[in-house]
Amino acid sequence: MRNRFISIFTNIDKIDRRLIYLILVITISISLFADVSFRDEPSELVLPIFNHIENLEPGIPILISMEYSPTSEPELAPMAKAVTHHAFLAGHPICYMSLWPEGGMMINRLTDQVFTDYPDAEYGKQWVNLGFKVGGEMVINSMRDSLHHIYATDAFGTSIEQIPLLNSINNLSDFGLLLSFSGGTPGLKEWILYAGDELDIPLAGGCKGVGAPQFLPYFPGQILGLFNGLKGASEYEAVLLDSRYNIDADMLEATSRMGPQTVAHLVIMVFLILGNISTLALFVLRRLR
Amino acid sequence: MKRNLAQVVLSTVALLIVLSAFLPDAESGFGGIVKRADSYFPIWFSIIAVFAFVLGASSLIGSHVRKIKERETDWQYSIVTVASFAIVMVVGLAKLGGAPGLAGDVSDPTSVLGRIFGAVLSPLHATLFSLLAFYIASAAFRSFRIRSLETTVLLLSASAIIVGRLPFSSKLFSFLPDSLHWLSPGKVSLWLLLVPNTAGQRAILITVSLGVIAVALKHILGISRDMFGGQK
Repeated sequence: MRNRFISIFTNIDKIDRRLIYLILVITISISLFADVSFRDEPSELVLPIFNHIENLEPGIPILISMEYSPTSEPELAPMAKAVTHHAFLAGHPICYMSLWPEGGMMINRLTDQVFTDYPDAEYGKQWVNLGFKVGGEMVINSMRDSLHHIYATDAFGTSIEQIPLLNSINNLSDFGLLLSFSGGTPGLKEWILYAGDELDIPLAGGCKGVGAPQFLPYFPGQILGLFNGLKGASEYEAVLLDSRYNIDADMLEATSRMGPQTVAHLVIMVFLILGNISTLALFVLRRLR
Repeated sequence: MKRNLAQVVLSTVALLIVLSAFLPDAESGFGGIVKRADSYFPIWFSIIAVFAFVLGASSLIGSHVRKIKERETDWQYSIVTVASFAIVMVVGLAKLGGAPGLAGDVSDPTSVLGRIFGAVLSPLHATLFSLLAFYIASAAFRSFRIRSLETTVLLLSASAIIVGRLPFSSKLFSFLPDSLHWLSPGKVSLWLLLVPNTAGQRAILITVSLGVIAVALKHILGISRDMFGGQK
């Protein structure tokens, strides 16, 4: 009998990794097709960002810098989307830029999706796309003094002077909030070092879940708040959906994407429990021998 | 001579940048010169960074062409790299299907480059990254075990983070009385990230920064000149 138990627990202990992959594929696929989603609750990391945008006087522009590529798009794009909806509904013009070569494409993808929901949104007045600029932290450094110094045109080749929104913006200090959605370097850390700390402008950002430990030392002193992975975006959506704005849940992405992620986390937890039960059981059974 | 000149340029630029952080803003005099220099350096850096792309591209092509010529291991993959590079570069430079001219948007989604990005690069990136979830699941199953004090701490903190990131984690532990609410995984996971993690990360950050300052000083003062090359 004891040998039988030892054999069962040994099998669990040495479970083939392909079986783990298969179970994950099946459970994630089911949750994707069944559209499983869970409403989140805001944490103290995202609430300050929401409150700051709410308390900004309408008309004060917000800068969104999108430092990510398709690799981290599933986690970071929903953050940018939620903030864009919020900023637009609260009446803040948005200026998009990127320090990553792929960022230009990411901005286009985001604005194409979001601004179809607001056909009246006027390019050049309510939002502007500055596109990708090479130079990393040096671009930030230069924008500290003058935005017009480093950008002659927007992403579409229109002269900066002809864009009404940018006429009132001289440098980074003219923005009410700087946001960096960061998948790596250059990213949020460079914005903290070269803009937030230097100018004392409200700065916040978002990063992949695995990247959050790197940015949390800057919270709450140097960054206002942090979107901690997809969960951060889903928390922000929860506040946005409960707010005074009449926003449809279908216009947002993170809450629905959290469904499969939650299911995957639960599957991992089940495997962790099984693995540890087998380890403990084998330890006890071998001791009893 | 060449190395001395490079050293002079490096030391001058570095000192001006360092001084600009300490000197108050001024329009004239030495302070004005430093301020003006500091505003121009980022633009020069951006120009140099563009040349770095050229250098990177020529290095990439050079190494892969050599690999193909010498039929090194897996040389066939180098053909794919060189061909992909050539296609993307020609399509991007010519702005095929997109807004023409120097100022035309290179990231225009309707251009051929935009289509390549959307149909090839984007799904490839996303696929490769999403595979990590499967490796992490398998690795977590094998490594998060109660085998020693260290692995037990790792298991408990990882479990708190995983459960704490569930959207319904606070509801799962709503049975806890108010006085014990701090034990719920959501609170524990946030505490782990904001307290022990922050302490460790700050210690690393400060130590690394001190190291960076020491290395920078060695370069600025000319004590270490190996980066200029040619040293025997």
